[in-house]
Amino acid sequence: MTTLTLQHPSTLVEPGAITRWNPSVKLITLFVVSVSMLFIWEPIRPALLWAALVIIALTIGNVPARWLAFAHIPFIAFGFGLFLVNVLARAEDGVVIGAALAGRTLVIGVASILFLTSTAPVDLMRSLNQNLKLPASITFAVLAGYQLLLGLPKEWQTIRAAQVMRHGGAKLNRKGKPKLTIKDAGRLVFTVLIVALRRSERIATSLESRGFGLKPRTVYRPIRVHAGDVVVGLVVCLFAVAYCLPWI
Amino acid sequence: MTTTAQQHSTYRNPYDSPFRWQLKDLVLVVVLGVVFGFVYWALVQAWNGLAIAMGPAGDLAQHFLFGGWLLVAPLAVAITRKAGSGILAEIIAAAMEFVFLGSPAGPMLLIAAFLQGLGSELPFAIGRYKKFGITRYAISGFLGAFLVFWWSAIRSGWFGQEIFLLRLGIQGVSGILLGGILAWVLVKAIQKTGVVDNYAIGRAQ
Repeated sequence: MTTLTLQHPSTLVEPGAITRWNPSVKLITLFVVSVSMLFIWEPIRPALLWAALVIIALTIGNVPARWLAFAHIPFIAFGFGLFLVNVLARAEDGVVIGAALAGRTLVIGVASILFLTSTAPVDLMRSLNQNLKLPASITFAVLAGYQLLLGLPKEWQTIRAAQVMRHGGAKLNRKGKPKLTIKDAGRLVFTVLIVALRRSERIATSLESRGFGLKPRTVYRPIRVHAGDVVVGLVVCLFAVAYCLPWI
Repeated sequence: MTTTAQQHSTYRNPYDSPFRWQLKDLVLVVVLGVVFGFVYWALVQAWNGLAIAMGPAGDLAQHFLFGGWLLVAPLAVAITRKAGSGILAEIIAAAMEFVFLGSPAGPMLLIAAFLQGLGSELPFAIGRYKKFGITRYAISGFLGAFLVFWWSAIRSGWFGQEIFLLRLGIQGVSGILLGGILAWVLVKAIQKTGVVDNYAIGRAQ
């Protein structure tokens, strides 16, 4: 049985200029860009923006072309569904609106890919804590939770193995692999949930016993917001709003 | 059991207040959010495959499963009984999906998550985090589905489609069943295992 693993996109990409952009500013910018996209109801502008973003991803973003193409599959699936349903459910303007929605999905998708590939989760959480003043208890709990999540696939396999043992060997499916019935799957998910809950209490206890929550907190290698970060953020935001708003 | 309850009736645990968060409440809500964020993300992946297979029907069929996305809020509220726990759990789940796992909906998920959490938490907040009957869960599921429906409608341009009311109806029912009743069943089952005895839900017994 191979071990299931989760890998964050930021580990797959060579760090570049976008990686050095402050994570909090980057997140806010991404948010503004995504919201302003909601005001576009025709397909041409999203298509242009999508092309521009793909070029940025391939050049400055260092995103490998093959990986970018694979990452597009869910966006295309989602966008295609939106397009089709609008064509069918709207008598007059279905094609235009459907295409606009599909284009919007692609733009937000590629922008999100740019964000994910350039931002390591730990850096983002540290930046949210230090720059946006989110409580440390939340950001560190998220990171602890993420570590817990990375261990869950292994937990899943252990519990599954125990389950199969207890049944005296699983029934085999047509391919000769152990068959996972819906009842078993339900039990498996529930047990994993309980394991996570039990571990969360342990995490809280160990955080508290190490003096977590005491003030003042000092930080190792603080993440700073430079003037350049903010200027780039503002320029991108203003561009996005100017690009999307005037033609409502 | 009743005699011990009477003996302790003069003592009130300060952490029973919905506004006094303990670190372990926070960590529990976050961990719930993280786990469910992953479950949601896995569901979406499975869902994408199905949506391709179903074509345009897939867009309508998403409303049937919609209530599943509301599950984490009532769980968090019922176990910790803290103000804002439902909203926080949903937002963490969405942030997990988006920041750590990558979701095509992007940061828009956070707004949807806030609305879902708000809708789901509202009925419990009205009961001052003390009443947890099955009807309240059902209303919670319905409100969660109902609030976020309007946001999705704006985002995906459902206004003016001929199936608008059908969408609303299916989503509401799904919210009641998956986001309400199922949450009630799950909370009962979790409570039975005893892992949450040290939280407000255990103290309330």
